[in-house]
Amino acid sequence: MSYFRITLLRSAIGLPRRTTDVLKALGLKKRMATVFHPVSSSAAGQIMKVKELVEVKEVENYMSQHEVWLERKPDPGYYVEKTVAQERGESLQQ
Amino acid sequence: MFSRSVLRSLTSDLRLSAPSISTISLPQRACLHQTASLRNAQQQSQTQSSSLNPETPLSATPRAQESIPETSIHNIIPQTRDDIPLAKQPVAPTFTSPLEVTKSLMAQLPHLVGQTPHYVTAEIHARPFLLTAGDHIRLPFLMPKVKTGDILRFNRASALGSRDFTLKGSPHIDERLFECRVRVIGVESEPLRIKEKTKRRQRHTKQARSKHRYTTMRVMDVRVKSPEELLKEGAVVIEDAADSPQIEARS
Repeated sequence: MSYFRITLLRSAIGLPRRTTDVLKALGLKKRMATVFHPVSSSAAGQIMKVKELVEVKEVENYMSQHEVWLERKPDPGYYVEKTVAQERGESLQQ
Repeated sequence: MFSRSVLRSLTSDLRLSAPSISTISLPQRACLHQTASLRNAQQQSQTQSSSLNPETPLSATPRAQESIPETSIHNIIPQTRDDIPLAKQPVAPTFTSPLEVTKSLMAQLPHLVGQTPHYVTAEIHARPFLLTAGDHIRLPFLMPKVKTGDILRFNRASALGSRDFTLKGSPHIDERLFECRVRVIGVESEPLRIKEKTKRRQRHTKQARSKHRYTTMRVMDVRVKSPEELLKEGAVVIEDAADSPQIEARS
């Protein structure tokens, strides 16, 4: 089962009430929010109403909000190679 | 009046029913927590039994690369906001495939290795830091689970170079090509900042105090591994590709 991955790129401020309502129905509350909807004609129609504001991708799997967030989370870029306790233990053994 | 009494009875029913739901769900939760803690305990006991030197006291900080339990690395499925996969945690990496180095990089690498000192653009939480050996860094945050005197390895680099040569990653250089060690010197703190918060039509002013702490470090060494070393560690030489990293000379 495939899903639409919809991200709101532009806000609906200053647009007709109808547009805001469609976004609300899709579950998009703020910019850069991402939601997943199963591919269906009704979802496609809703996307067509707000196609100028959103970015749509068709993906295979649903992702939770946490997983979407993890996608953007950068690597820490470091790790602890040796703690002080370990170093002290090594020096005592010698 | 009648409707009000009906409503009241309804709400009382709801109130009665609500705690019962919670009491049902609570033990399940507790069970889940228990099993999780049990599993952790089992894993810990396994690792303890399998570790090479059991006489050393068990420390909370992660040990060297080989003592990390293999089972826990791949079995984490993110469920809550606290579940972060190991790839995004500061844990020593485990490699499944050997390092692949292109022929041209192998040929050019001695030029870079021969020219000291080296610099590295290390990325900590995606923020770049230009480092050479002997530098002092003050991170813009307090690094968790790190003590003074600990040795850290920086393993995300976007550029690695010397005076005349630069190896640029796309977007990162493989961490097995270099070594960048850093020792934690201590914790610095900024002077106390007091911000006065005022509200309208009130004589009272609120004071918001902040005093952030930052981790300071010293770069111990920045070293580029020579081709011989890479081959000894099991690097595989492959043909050049279009997007393979190359060393650029200063123009």
